[in-house]
Amino acid sequence: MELLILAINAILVGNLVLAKFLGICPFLGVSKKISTALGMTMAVAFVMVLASTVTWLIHVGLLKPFGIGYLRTIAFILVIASLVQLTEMAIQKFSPSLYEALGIFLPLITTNCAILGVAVMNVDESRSFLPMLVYSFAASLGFGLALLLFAGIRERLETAAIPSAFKGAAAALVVAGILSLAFMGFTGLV
Amino acid sequence: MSLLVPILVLSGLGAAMGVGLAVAAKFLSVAEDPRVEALVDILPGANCGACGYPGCSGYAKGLVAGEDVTLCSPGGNATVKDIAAILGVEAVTVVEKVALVKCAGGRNVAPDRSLYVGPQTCRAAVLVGFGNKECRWGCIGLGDCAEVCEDDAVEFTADGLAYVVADACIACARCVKACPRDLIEMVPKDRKVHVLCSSHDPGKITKNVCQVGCIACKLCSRRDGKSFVIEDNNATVLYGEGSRDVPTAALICTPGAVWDANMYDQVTWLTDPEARVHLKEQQAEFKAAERAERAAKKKKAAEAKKAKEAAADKAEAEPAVGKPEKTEEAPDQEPEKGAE
Amino acid sequence: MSVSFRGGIHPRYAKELASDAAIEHLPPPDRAIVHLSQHIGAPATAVVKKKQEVKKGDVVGEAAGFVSVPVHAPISGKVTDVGLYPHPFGSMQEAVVIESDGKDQWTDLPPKAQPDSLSGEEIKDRIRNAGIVGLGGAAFPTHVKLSPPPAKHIDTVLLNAAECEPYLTADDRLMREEPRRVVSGFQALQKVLGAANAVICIEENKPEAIGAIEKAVSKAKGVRVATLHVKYPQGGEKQLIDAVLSREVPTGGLPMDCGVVVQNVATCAAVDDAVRFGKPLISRVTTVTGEGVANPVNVVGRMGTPVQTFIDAAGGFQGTPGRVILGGPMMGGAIHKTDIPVIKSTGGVLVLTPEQLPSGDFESCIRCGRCVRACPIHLCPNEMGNYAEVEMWEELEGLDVNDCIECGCCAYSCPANRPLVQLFRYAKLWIRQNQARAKTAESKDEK
Repeated sequence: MELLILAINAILVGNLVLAKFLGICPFLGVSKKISTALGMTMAVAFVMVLASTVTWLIHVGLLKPFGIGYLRTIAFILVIASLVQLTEMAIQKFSPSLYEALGIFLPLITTNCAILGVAVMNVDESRSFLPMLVYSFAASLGFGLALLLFAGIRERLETAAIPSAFKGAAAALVVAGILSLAFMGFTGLV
Repeated sequence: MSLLVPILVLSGLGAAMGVGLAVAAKFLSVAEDPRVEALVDILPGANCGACGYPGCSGYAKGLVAGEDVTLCSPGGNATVKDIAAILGVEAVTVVEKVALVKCAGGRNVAPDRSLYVGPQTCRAAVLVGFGNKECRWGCIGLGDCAEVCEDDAVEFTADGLAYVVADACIACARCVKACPRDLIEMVPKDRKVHVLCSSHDPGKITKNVCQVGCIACKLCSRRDGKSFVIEDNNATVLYGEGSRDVPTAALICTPGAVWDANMYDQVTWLTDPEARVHLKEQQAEFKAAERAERAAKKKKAAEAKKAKEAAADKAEAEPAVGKPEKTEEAPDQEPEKGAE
Repeated sequence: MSVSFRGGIHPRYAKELASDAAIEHLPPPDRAIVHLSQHIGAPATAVVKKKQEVKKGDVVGEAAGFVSVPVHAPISGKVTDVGLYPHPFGSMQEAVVIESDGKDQWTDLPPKAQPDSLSGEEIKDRIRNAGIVGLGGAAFPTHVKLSPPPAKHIDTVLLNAAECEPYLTADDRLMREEPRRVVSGFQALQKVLGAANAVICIEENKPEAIGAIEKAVSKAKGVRVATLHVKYPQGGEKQLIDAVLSREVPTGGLPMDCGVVVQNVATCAAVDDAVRFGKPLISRVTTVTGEGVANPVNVVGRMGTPVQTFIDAAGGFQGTPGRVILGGPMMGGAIHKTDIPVIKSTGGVLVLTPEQLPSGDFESCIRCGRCVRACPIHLCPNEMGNYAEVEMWEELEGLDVNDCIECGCCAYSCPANRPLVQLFRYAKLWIRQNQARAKTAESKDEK
């Protein structure tokens, strides 16, 4: 039950993109088409869960025992960067079309504060293993939800008669703001 | 001591990640020909698709698979050389080309027949009653070609005629595909004589719909059949082997469908009515000169014939020894065909 | 009890302008420009030469293949030219020009026959040799429509007497004045197809025609009359089949896919002439109407007569003409000049005044949904129009733009005055071109 509440919290109430404002870069960059948005969600989910797990293990097994918890930023970044490299190599090998579509955004997941944010939040709230897993996976699903919603709206925005000064990124940002306002409605749900 | 642990831990972590990535790189490596990257570097990067591939990286991949090295028109001969160097093949010289709109029918010489209302693209305009121009082959002027040109090489005259500024054109051929009436052709950059008409209507119809359209009278192809050919009621310039810029072509084309860039620059030719008046004067002079030349030749031939006949008469009057010679007649000089 | 379909619009019909004008016969023209391409399918090939003498009804162009029909001389006289002439659709096409000799003599026609004595195949041959095409506007060769593949069993043949286009009254007058000719032709078609059911479908706004036809069929067996609710485009094939038989023609399919063949009133009249008298199709009823002509009329004119002759028969222009349309205001095509000749499919000449013309200005879609409600094919014209404007062709294909029958209901109902039908035609062109390009790219890859 608690895990379910944790998941709902991660997906809706404390949505990574729309409530915590993490991971805006891929959110705006890969949300032009629903197909690329889906691909990006899967990549982020994979990296997020793996990175959280590994960083959690390193924190619990290496950093805390040695009392060097303050090194977590550097250590976590190191781990995340390597994992993203690994993911990029894997995608290039197994799905060249997805690799072409995501292009520059794969390495951008490295500097994506969402991954580091989730890793750090797990550690800050001293979660145990299973809640950590659930939270990471749910957070990535929330990221994917926001991304897909946004991609759907952006596809429709293509045909809307927007004044030329507002077309493209400007309208997208306004929509993102409104979407974020909408998600505030979930406050107090769980 | 308190420093050693963090240093060791971080270094250990770093080393572990490094080794892990190195191992993964071996298993997850994707073989890519290093030449592909080198080729992408030297290709122009216009991603225009003139080569038939989707973008320069596509062409690079095709090249290492053995594709023709001369397909990149924006790159020209410099790129062909670079490609050949990387691939280790022989460099071939290509003819540099530019786009040319083969129509001179602005509204002033090729009038509209109705008013078009609707989406302002040439393709849409042609859908409505086969276009609003009297001439069903001519330039609509709504700019489908300019739309796709990324180098701003397409301009329009005040009478709605599109033309390509040769210096700005990179020969990517996007405009060729964009024109719904297929008016744009890639022509060699150094050629100066062109026929600016793509009408395949018989001459008697063309002259009613455009003042400067080709009526397929064949004067040009008769003058130089290697440089001009008449195909389906339309004169086409040949740009291949054995063809040349025929210097008198513009002077003999009565409607003025031939544009000689040596005589008039593009903008003047397409927009200045004075140029046409001037050309007509030149044409009249040229025709008169040719006629005079022919008349002189005929006179000379007639005189030569007379002289020979007189000599023959003389020979008859004073019989020579032996058999009487047969008088030889000088071959009749036929006036050059195509005088009209 | 009148039947109908979901969707459609109720435009101002203005039929009263010409509905009381009895059919007049125009004198034969002094010069006829007979186009070889007057139908869907391959244009006919000319079989006459310059200076050749022809009689009325002689074949001047032979059918070129199965989906093609012959073209006949509408007057007797001498062929003065075979060449390119302006065509009503806007292009230039091959035509045979005949100068009249004033005699208007018929050539030797096939022997007269009673439809009952001819077999279905013989009737079809007469129809083909007479050059009969669908006279409702599409000009599809009738003998091809009457030759469905054996797998498609036809159980019903419908007579499309809806005449749903505003202004046009040609079919109405034909039914009122010559109902037996229409019914006889219709029955001949039923015989060719071997259809069990035959239904004549007339809109409610033609009570005299309904009366006349009902009287004519009272003696005929197996033919019934169905009255239709007055709505545009009730005369569309798919809408007619939906309303009368409650059947749906599948996407990309034809009426024969649900066992139905639909024919027009004027076509049936022409069929009757061909079957009984062996007469080829050289003339038809045309309504000349609109606020732009002085005196709207319904006339029978020969093919190849200039449009101007028809306008003159209606008293000439009333004031400056705004637009001259061949056909109806919804699906007809505007012409550039009035010296072009009429063809088999010219059922109406409509002259609109300049005040009646809409301006070309349009605004962005306000998503009111009126077009969705009006579309008789139940598509989403608002979405399709938006995608067409930004040229997103793949999404358009997904919205089934290829099912659009270009009836104009959406453009009519749009408060933002959007040129929807034009956008859809543009989209269909692009989709066709992209498909062709994809095909050539595929075959290139395979090499």
